[in-house]
Amino acid sequence: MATGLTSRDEPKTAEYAGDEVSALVLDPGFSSVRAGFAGEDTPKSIIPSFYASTSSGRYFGDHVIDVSREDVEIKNPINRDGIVEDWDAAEALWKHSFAHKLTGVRPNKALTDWLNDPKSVPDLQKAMADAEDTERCLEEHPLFMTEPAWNTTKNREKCAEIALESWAAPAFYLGRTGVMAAFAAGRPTALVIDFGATQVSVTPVHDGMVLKKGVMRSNIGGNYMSSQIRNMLATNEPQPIKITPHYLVQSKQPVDAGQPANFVARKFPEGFKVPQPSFRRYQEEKVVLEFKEIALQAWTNPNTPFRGPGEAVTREQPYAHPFEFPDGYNQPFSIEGFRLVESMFDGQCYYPPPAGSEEEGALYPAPEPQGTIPGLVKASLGQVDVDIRPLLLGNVVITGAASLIRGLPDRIQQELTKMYPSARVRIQASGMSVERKFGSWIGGSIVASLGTFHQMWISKKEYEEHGASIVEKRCK
Amino acid sequence: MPPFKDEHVLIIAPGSQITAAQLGLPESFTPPRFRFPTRMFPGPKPDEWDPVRIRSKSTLITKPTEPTSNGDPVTADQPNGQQATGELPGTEPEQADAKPAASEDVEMKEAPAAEETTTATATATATATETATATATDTVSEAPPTDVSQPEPAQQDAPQDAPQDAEDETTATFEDDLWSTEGAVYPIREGRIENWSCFFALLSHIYNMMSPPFHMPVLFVAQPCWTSRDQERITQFVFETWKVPAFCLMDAALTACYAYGVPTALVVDVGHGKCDVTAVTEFQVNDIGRGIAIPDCGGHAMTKRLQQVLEGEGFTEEMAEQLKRSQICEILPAGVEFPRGTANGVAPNPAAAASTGALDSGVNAKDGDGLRPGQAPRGPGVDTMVGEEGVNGNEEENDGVLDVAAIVARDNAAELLAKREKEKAEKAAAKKSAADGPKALRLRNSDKERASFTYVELLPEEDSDPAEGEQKSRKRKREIEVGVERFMAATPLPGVGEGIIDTIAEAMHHTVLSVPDMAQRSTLWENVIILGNGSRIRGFTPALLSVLHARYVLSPSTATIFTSELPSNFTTPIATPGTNTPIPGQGGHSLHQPGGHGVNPLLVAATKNMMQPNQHLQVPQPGSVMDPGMHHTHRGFSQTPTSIKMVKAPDYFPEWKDPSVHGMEEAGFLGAQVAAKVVFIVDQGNSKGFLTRSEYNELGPTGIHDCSI
Repeated sequence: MATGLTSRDEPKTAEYAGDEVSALVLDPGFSSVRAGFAGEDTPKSIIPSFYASTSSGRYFGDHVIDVSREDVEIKNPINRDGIVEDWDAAEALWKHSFAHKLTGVRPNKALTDWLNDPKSVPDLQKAMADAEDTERCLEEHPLFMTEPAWNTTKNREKCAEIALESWAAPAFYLGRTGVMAAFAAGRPTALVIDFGATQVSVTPVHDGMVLKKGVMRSNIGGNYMSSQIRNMLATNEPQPIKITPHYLVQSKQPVDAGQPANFVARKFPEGFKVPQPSFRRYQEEKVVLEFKEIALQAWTNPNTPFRGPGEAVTREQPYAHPFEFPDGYNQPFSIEGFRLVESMFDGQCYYPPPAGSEEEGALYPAPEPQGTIPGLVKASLGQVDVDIRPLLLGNVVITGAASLIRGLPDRIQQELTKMYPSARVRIQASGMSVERKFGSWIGGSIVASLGTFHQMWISKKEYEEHGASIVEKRCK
Repeated sequence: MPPFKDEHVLIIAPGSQITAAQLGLPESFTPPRFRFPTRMFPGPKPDEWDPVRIRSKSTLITKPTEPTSNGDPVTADQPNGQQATGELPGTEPEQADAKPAASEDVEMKEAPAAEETTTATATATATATETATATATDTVSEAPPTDVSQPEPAQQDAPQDAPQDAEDETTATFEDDLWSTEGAVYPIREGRIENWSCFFALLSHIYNMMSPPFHMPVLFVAQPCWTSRDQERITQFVFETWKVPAFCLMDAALTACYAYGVPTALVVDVGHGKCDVTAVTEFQVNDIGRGIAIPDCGGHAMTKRLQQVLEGEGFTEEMAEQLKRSQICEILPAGVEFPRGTANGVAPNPAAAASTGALDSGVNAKDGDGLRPGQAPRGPGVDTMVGEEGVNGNEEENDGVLDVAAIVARDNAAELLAKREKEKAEKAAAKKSAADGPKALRLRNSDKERASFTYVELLPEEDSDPAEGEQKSRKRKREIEVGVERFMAATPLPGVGEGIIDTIAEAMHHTVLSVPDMAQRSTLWENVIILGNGSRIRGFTPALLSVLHARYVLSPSTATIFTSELPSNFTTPIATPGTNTPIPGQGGHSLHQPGGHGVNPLLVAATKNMMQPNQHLQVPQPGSVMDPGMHHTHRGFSQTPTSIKMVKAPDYFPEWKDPSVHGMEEAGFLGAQVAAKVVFIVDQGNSKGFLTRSEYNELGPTGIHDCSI
């Protein structure tokens, strides 16, 4: 074995001339965290924002949190406003999102090798330096993060602190999701309607700047829709439908539509502490998501309103979408799919919570007229200069995964045309679902790779000089 | 750049246990020609690694200073060793860890290691190595001190830079220990590269074994869990160390698709410590919701589980491993009860207990590998390492008994051992059945309450006779009888509510649901590829499919409702060549959907194909007149899966049909060859399928991310 020395050595870094370091773009949301390198067209690492928490620790990432572990609980560090609440978990989650697929985890020698055997630590000084080094996971990449337009000053500073101090990123920037979505659509001036999990927000963007007064939001996003679907199922005729998630089904037998389910429930081993309710809810939510994909549809007939005539029409068979639940129960849904979407436009189509769960239902009440989509747009445009309203209406950008409802862009087009008959309303909604889901990430990827953006970064040095308040000054 | 030639393409597919490699693309693609165990042994210095464990022992040849020796080299060994141990009690823990005792045995760096290794791996005959190891009586896995501390006296006597002087008094002999895996470092764990220095040393070792030419394009099969950074490091290593002209890094899931020749597939790759579930659509890997390195879903988890349930019977991990590989270990499909007369004290299997009996016994006439009972697989074929022909020949002569350990130590352990194990089980079964008469022959494995397998034990060396020159086998065979525990490999581990089959099934469902393009989902379900050596366990694929059918496949009544009231504007089904054609022989007769009859296939096809991708997302131009009936927006979105089918293995590669290969578990390597042919030879870089040297010089390692065909 004639091994030359070179092959045993790790390669030296400096043979190629490149000095290009790509920035990391991190777009955390309530439902998922998107991470990837700037300049790429889609985020390479997408993990749920939910994480599993057991007595033995936290688990992050898809699939891993779907395992029904003993006494497992599913948590989310972000609250119902889309604002981070649990910073400790958020930091760990975000770090996982890029470390495990992009930048790599630095092995922590102190933890893996030396913890149980202090005698083998070669050099305490070096060991401590190494251990710290593990935390400095972003030393090589500037970090571009997105935030909702209604993020608090304190939270923005905390983001900068995590990025520049804990992760030791060389530079940092915070971009607003609305602006980023506008960039993703190629419009520096746009009215961005972002359908997120927690919020539907309307953000007027002019020349790449958010018009802060005009930012309007309402909690009629994806979570509201889930809650509506649950209300609808619970008050379903002929019998209420209870969602049994897949993990509780051992096997099912086919049944006819509307017939009670015939399935064998999973039995857990004896002495097994069943997962907590939050785990079940998270699993149920997956079924609800599938339901959304199958059944939801926006009413897009401009001549007849949905309430009344539309309802009568959609009762008919051609609009039926059969849906089968994990336990085998199945029935067609027709009018329900329309009415659920309609409730984002018209509070009267709201499905009230079933008796007994009003408390939960109160979290997602029927939207007030100004909280519906037309209401939000109206309120937002009312806050901006009259001169730029036509510009904004000509560039309405629809983004966010919750906007992936059939016919929704058409419907918004109709509503806006009706509200502003004199203006030319033009909707920008990508036909690619990936572009809609990750609009703000894609915008961040574009912005962070622009040559002209270089001066915008907050460098570590500047941060050290001016303190965290520089975020408020620089990232407007 | 001159075009690449078939015979110059180097393919390397790293895995947690085995790293497959091959230089050159044969006329018809073969199973990997070389299988290296993915492990190295710490060398004398930190970050130096040897492919084979090297033991040293000092033998006194002339005895001017040492009073203890009496001329018999072997007896001299023992006191010497003890003495050393006595002197250095403090060093024991380190040695037990098999960490390189760096400061002590510096002279090992002069290591005869190099020559030794070469001889052993390349030219040594089986008998030679056998002799060597049989005589080397002093290294015992339980007593590592002898091994490491023995250079000590030599070092005391001689200065470090003059080992020749030392040889005058004591000869430090260095020998390969082909059997032992003690102290081995596995650089890849659950797909992740955890020890880079070791991993690169392994790559160098592979490279040197291949002795490739200069103008050599390299294709790596990338583990899905490798990070961008990992990919860059490997790219850098390959370009800067091997000076290759072109490099391609291809995702393991993609190679599976190339192997089966399908652009869209749901790929389930069951490995040693983990399982990857990937939805590939039109040769694009879907990153969203992809099951990357799902832990505790590989072969190792099943071994662990077997060991757990058999702990009461004193099973070691090695025993459990061999049981898992034997013919009698099997995963029964969902709903199949364990054979009657379950032994007391055995935890009831929740899966079996909760079964519905929807599926009748799912045991096929063929076993999991597609071999009929009695059709014993052939012994090791061409797919072994260099210079092993002699060994194999020897094995055959010895009735396949002698050399299992040698195989373990060598590179394709998993493979060969499995084969060998089978062969033995077959033989044993044949003998048994001959004795028991025809009645026993008829019983299937899954009907028998108890069955036995042959456990081949590797004896520690201390047990063997120290007599010089005597060839003594270090293996002992023993028949072990086990009960229904042998069907429990996939039952849940403690603390987890589901077994590995359940977890994988759920991951598959979730992965498909995460694919943004809904129109592709049913195609994915009809193109399932299950591969990876972890899925070799008997009954794995049928069991997985049965769980999927029992739990996820939609009942046909849904389709009936839907199709019985077809809207008048129903689009015509688009022909999908092949995808709707049932594939005979796949999945087995017992696995069909319980109520799957009677649904008009045309209607089922209609539910799947009526929608163009993302059509509902298209935005109409402003001012366009809405169809009042909204018929254009009404498109059937249907749930999946309505049926699940495996992709039929390609039948035009005769080498992969050889019984010694038995199965397509390593089809990923086949795909790598197909891909290499496409990327390097056919396409020649027109589609930017690989990174060239000049591009690398310009872009650096990050350039690899721009390359995908």
